[in-house]
Amino acid sequence: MLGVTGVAGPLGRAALLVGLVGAVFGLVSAVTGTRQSDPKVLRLVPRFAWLTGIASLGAFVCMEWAMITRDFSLAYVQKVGSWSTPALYNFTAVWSALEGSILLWLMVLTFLTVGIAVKYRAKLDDPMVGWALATMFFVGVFFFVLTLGPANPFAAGPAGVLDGPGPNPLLQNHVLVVFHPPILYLGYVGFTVPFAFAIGALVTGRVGEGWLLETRRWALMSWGFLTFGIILGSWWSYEVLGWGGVWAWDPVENASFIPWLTGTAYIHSVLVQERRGMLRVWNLSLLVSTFSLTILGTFLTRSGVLNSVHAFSDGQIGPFLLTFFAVIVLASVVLIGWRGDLLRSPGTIDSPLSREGAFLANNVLFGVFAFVVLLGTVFPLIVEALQDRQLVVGEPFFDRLGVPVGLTLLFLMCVAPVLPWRKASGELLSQRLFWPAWGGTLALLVSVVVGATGIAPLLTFFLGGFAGGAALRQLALATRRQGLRGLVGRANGGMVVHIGVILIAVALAASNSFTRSQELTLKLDTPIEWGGHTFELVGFSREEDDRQTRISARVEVDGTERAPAVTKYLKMGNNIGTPSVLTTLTKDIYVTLEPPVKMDSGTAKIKVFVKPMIVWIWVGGAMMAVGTVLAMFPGRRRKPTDPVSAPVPEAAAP
Amino acid sequence: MEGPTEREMLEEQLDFLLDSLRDLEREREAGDIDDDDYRSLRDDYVSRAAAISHQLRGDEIDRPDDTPPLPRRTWPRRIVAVLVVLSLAAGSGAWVASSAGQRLPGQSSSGGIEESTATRLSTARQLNFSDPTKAIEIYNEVLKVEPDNAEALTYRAWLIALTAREATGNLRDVAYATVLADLARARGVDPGYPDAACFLGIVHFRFLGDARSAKPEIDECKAMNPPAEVESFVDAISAELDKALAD
Repeated sequence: MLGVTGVAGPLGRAALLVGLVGAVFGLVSAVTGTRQSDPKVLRLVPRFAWLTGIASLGAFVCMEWAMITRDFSLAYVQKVGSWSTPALYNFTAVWSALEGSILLWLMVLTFLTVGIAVKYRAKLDDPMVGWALATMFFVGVFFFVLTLGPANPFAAGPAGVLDGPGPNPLLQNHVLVVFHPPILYLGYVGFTVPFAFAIGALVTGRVGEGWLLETRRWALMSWGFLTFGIILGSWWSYEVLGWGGVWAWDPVENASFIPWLTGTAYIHSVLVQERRGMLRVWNLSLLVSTFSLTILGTFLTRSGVLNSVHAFSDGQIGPFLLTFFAVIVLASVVLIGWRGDLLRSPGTIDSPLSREGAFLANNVLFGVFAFVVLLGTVFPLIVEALQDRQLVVGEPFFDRLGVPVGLTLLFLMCVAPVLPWRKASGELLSQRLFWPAWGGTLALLVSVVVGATGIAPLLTFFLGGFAGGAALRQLALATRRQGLRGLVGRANGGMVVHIGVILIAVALAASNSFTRSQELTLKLDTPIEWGGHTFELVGFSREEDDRQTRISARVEVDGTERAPAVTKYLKMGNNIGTPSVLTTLTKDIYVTLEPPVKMDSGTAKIKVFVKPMIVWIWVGGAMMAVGTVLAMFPGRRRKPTDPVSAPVPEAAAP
Repeated sequence: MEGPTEREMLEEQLDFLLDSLRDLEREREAGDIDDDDYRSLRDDYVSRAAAISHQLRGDEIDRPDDTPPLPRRTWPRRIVAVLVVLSLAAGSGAWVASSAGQRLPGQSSSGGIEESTATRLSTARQLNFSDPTKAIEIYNEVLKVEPDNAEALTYRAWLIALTAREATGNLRDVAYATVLADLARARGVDPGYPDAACFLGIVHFRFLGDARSAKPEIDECKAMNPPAEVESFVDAISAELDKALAD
């Protein structure tokens, strides 16, 4: 035994209680201090923020301590803890089920609240900051209530339990479990900040462009984390689940993708409001949608209403989340309606052939895409609730929608970066699109030469080359003027993100259209040729410990030994396949071992996928992350957090 | 809760526009923005700032005649917008409804990963008795990918044989011919697979009344130590088969 056990529960519960009290007092002091413009009360706000942060961190540490010491007095440790789980997966087991994941969510939220309170400590008397902090505390109160009520990680379990099953086998099979959930949560929870400022703007009536500048970097950071979290999730799915794909339109994947779509729409349309003062209601609606969709996604994932590869299907948390979702949506709609007159934009779009016209089209596409994916995700749940019929909306539905929308977005990525604001002339466009169009033509020619066929993939490669050319053109212009400094800033960082997106789109088109797969039965020392590759079974290996039995087939793929495996987790009884992936720049050879494995028979059944260009999905994801970081630097614009009402220097004033 | 006065709002707007103009100059200096964008944005900012300054200078909050009024949405436009949104929603609803299908046990409510043959066979096994039609569909899918899969051939044949009991005439003959062919093929593909031999024997005896053809199959089945659930079928007819042959 590792030391003191049994203290984590009381300490953790106490920490959560202190945190709840801190959040309630923070909410009350932010609201009363702002309403009464009382600096003494407002000065308390950052202290309460710190109190909630320290309390949630304390609770998290208690939970980790309980897991490390295998404190089986707690129901949560009984559910996901085990003496046989290795240290790394035991550490990550804290967020491997409902209660712990809500605790992680809470910790991220409270530290974002601390971040806001610290960053704006000199501007607490600004009512917009006060209301934004009140909103953050309000959300914090809700999550503290969850952790003390229906998702209490410190609830006592039945006495006498000495060991548990450990986390879900899929969550103790790959190191990405350390990174994917926390990064995704940073994205989800991060959108609370721009949402809070949007509420602050609506309450104070300062719905001009000022609040956007305050939240620009927060929104971009949250979007970046959400993007990177989704990419890591795809990678994890590819490396762990053994079906050879990266995206399955599973409800939990959709739950992260839908807010990503509305968030992506927002970071584009916000530029139109900043530059032209338009789309005010739309931007507020997008922020509200993005935040509420993260709550809806949490409901879908954690309420047990659906079956999925990685849904946490237990708990009584559903009604709480659904009520909170309804409150958020209702309050936001009421506030937007209340401030309707102030939200009218002072300008209109002069021409559809303009930067703002392209952004509007982009937003319509993202909005429609988000709506239809949401509909496809919740439709089976609605039918089940009303008619008690169990339906599935399959992958083809989402693919049929995704292909045309994706192609149209690629087209917009070709044109939008070269469009000027307000209005473009045909001459200007033809001049700016000349080299990008040649890039597209070259990509198309190369695709045809290497044997690509089919309208959708060829169109994707053409538009990918075209859009890549447009992004590179802008980067080339910027770096020619400023050297590498030209890569920094929102516009040019955004172009790096575009290149990442293009790589992903092209790689997805190639892998979805040209993947070949086959099940092969291999006999020992008997090579089989398939798809231009040689596969030979050279033996088996078996590893056994008190956690698992792992049988690997040693298969030589073109002379390189690979070891696809099937692992039986003894306490769960599940067979989990571990694929072996041979990655090159042009294709992956993905091999899975199919159960049941009969080592004595001297044969092994494997499934082989030859998947072109998969590695470029991960390269594209990395480029999106890098581009987001570059875009977060302010470039030559003013610091985004400078107050818009700051005195304008005389020299600069017109 | 009171909002800002109109004057405060105008001042904030003006500050924002002046800052934006400064940003624009810096961006142009840095080469982040081209000349066309620069000109169009500068004109926009300057005209908006001038209009606001005009209002503020006159300390006249009522909008002067030369300032363009904020655009207002007219009712016909609103109705058209609502109709477009409703049509889109209705169309999407109809589309998703037509795309939905029956969910199988263990399947997620949307999307879903492409299953391996082993997983498909496992699902089909669970449906053999509760939903034989669906099970046959799954075996068909498996056989499309792997035409020589002994389990899929055997159990599809067995489920067809059970269904064909109700059939008459030519249809029944065709069905049983297919069943026997598939079972024989399964045996040929995997001679060590007992289920194919067992079902071949049962079909010959129970459904076709041919005890002589059934006997060697049943003996071979027993010799291969079939799984318990199949063995129970075989045990049930073994004595009857011996009696029929003795008669």
